[in-house]
Amino acid sequence: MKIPAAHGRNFCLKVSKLRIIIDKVKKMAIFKKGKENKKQKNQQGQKTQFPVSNDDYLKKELYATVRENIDYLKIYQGECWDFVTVKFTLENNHQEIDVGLAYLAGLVDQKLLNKTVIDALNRNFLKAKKELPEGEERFRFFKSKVLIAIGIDEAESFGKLFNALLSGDMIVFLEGCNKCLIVGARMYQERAVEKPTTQITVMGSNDSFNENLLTNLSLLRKRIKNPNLIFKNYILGKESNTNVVLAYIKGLVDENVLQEVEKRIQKAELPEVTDASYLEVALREKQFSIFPKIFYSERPDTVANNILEGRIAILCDSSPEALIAPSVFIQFLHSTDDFHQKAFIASFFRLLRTMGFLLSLFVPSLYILLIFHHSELLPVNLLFSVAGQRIQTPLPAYLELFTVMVAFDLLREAGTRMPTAIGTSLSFVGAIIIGQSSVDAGLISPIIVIIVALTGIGALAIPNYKLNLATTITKYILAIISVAFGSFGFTLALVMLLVHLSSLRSFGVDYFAPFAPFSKEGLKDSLIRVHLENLRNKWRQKKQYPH
Amino acid sequence: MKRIIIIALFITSLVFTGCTDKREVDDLIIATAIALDLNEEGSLELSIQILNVHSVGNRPMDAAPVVVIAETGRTVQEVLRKISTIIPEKLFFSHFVLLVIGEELAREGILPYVTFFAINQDALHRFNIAVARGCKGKDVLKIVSVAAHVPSMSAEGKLLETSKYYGIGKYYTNDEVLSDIRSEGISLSLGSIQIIGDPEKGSDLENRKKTDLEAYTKASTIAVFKKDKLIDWMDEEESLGYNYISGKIKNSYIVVTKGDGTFASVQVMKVNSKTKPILENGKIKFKISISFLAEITEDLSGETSHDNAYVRDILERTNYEIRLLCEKAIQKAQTIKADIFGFGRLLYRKKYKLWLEIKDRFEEEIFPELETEIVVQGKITRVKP
Repeated sequence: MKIPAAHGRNFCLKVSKLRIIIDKVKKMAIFKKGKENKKQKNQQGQKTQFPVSNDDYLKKELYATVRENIDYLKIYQGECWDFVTVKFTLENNHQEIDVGLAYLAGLVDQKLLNKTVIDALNRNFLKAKKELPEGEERFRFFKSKVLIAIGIDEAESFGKLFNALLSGDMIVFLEGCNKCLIVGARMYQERAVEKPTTQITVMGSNDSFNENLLTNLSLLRKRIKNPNLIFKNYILGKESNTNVVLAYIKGLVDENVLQEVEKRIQKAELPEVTDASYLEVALREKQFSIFPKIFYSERPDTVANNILEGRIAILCDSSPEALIAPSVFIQFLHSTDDFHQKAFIASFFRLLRTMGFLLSLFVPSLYILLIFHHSELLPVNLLFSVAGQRIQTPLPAYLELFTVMVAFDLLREAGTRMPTAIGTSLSFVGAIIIGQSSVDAGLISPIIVIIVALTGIGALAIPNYKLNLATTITKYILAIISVAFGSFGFTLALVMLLVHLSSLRSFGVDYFAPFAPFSKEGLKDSLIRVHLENLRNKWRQKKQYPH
Repeated sequence: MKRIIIIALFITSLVFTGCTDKREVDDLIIATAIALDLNEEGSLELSIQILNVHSVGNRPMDAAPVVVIAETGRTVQEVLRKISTIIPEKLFFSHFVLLVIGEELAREGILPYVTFFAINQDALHRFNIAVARGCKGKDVLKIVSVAAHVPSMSAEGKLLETSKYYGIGKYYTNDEVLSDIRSEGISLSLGSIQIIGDPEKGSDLENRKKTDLEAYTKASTIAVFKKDKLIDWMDEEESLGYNYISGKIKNSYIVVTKGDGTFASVQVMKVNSKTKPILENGKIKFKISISFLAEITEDLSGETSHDNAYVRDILERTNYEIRLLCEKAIQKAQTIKADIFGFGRLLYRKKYKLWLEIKDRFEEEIFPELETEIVVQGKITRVKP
């Protein structure tokens, strides 16, 4: 007598066979041909560049007269309301010199301007003992004797001049010199250093980055008092000319990664960088992925920790988030709170969070698999209960699932950008109307509410917003595959998801480490965390990720 | 072009695995139990207990939890097809937990039916098989249960509990039944279910609303089969003995009569039983050693004692009682010539050459004369006050 084999075993066999087939197909030439074609197309595409606004000033040298210089500035900024130019004459016993000032009203410290700069010019110029000839000598005198003790620099080209001017420095032109003085008089309006909004922890420091790059750097300096801490500046974005800073510790940092990051930053041809996320697009590997490839944080302590672990932080002016390179997947499930707790407790909550992540990914698809395709796998009592609930609702299981899932995500999306006052009523509407009433009206079964709520709570346990969003999308994809292709399709999708995650790289480092490639040492700070003393030194020596 | 074909093949292979033959939970008609009987004309009567889905869930209707549908025919397949005239969808067999066989049918032979459910239906092979003692299987399905919502679940629970914690019943699944019938050297024995009271009144939902039940089902003693035909019933003591020998008991009790004529209860736990064939002077002998842990829980003379002599006395009496039960069971099996303990199977495993010589006459000639040595050795772990 032949008794049919269990379903599970069949699936395993099928899947393993299929994996082998996929590998073979990948190796086949037909797919390679296609890739080459694409490459050629890309190369052609790179030749066409995006349009650039008038950038003649970059190569232009300064004129020798104040009038000419100011006129040239006015070509660009003459129409601007906040652009201020002042011309006046300084005189002493020996001579008279025309001086021109140019600054942007909103960015310059007016007090400093009036009290110090104008004052210094008047007072110190009187001390000149002889007539100053045009050219280098006059310039030296002003730089070393007149405008002393004020953050001072010089510029010979309009490129550097504009950079300083638009950053909020004041420009001082001198008659007869083809150079200008740059007085550091910046005063930005900035938000105070406040509590973090997206990466909240229960314990630990409670400051977060704001939109001022210098403030952000100072927050890092405060935490790492080390002469090897380097802040390397780059100006990115052809139109926006934004300051981007690489922060790392010489000696600890992985040189290969540093070179890779620098190479990419230099190669990046960006029209504008108004936020760190613009950088993320330019810096990441050219691999398609829903999952976030570069870790970010608005917390100085997290960033400082990462720098101390040998990573590189990329900070961008007017962005409260620092990017971390390289990043690994498991980092997105970590919270700074883990390092404020004992190893055992931190490990437990990390596992819990990972469970939340897995729940939010798989619960809807597993539900649909069991209800739709494999009712025989449900335990008897559960089947009775589920069947009893489902019989009273009009929609098929998958439509019901998608309706409630979409409703939930809609509610969440609506709540994200809601003013706090309306937010309360929104959650009220969500809980009462969508949940309670539709169950009472018999439109949806209670179990589906539990399923979607479980998914939602699992997703909310993910500490990283970007991973949270990626999970939401993956959840839909998996659910659709489960409905259409059954458990075989689901298993295949799972395998593909793992293969995809394993294939990703972040700045040359394996994204799915320490699972693939597997490393025993790396596991100590992945799903669990062992004692801190056992962790860091070893990794620093090995330069191994995650560390 | 080649690439497109390969991709198309992949996609089609995916599509054909999923949605085809899918059945959603609320489309299912869930069979919870099946009963097989012979009706008055001698043809097969198959009754299916179907879950009334409207009676479970979050807003249950006030309706019977199950419906029993019966049809007659010549073969099981025929009856199942006939039943499709009564119900709107195909039956879902994955979750039926109980197959009840009417006593009359059991005496005719059960093999074809058990085999049918093993190979033809999408049943999981964990449903329990029991004999309806002195009644029709259909009636057993009809009795409304009290503790569990679904009667078949209740009946299954009763069978499991009695076999584990009392020791008179037997919980036996389809696979085990088939293997017992088909393999040599063992006779099948099954648990049974009895109806106490009037089955007609028991099927009324009103029965549930009373504190004094009109009718209920009860797990009963072991039915002994020869090949696949029911031949006799064991009584309670014999069933207990059988379960001690086969080691199926997890937890039971023994009432011992003390020297002064009063009773004491001993709770028996962790029963471990081993049977060994021994060859002595060309004669086969079986040594059955049973060990257990026990607690003295009750003494009707008024007080228990921690005294060594008292404990030893009770232990010896317990050993004796258990040996008596086992002897009774063996005696019964020997008189009806049914080797339900699987002594033959043991020989097959341990002394294969000997078994080959005697297997044709083992059950009829050797087994009834078989000498057994029963060694019961317990330990009293605790005396309750």
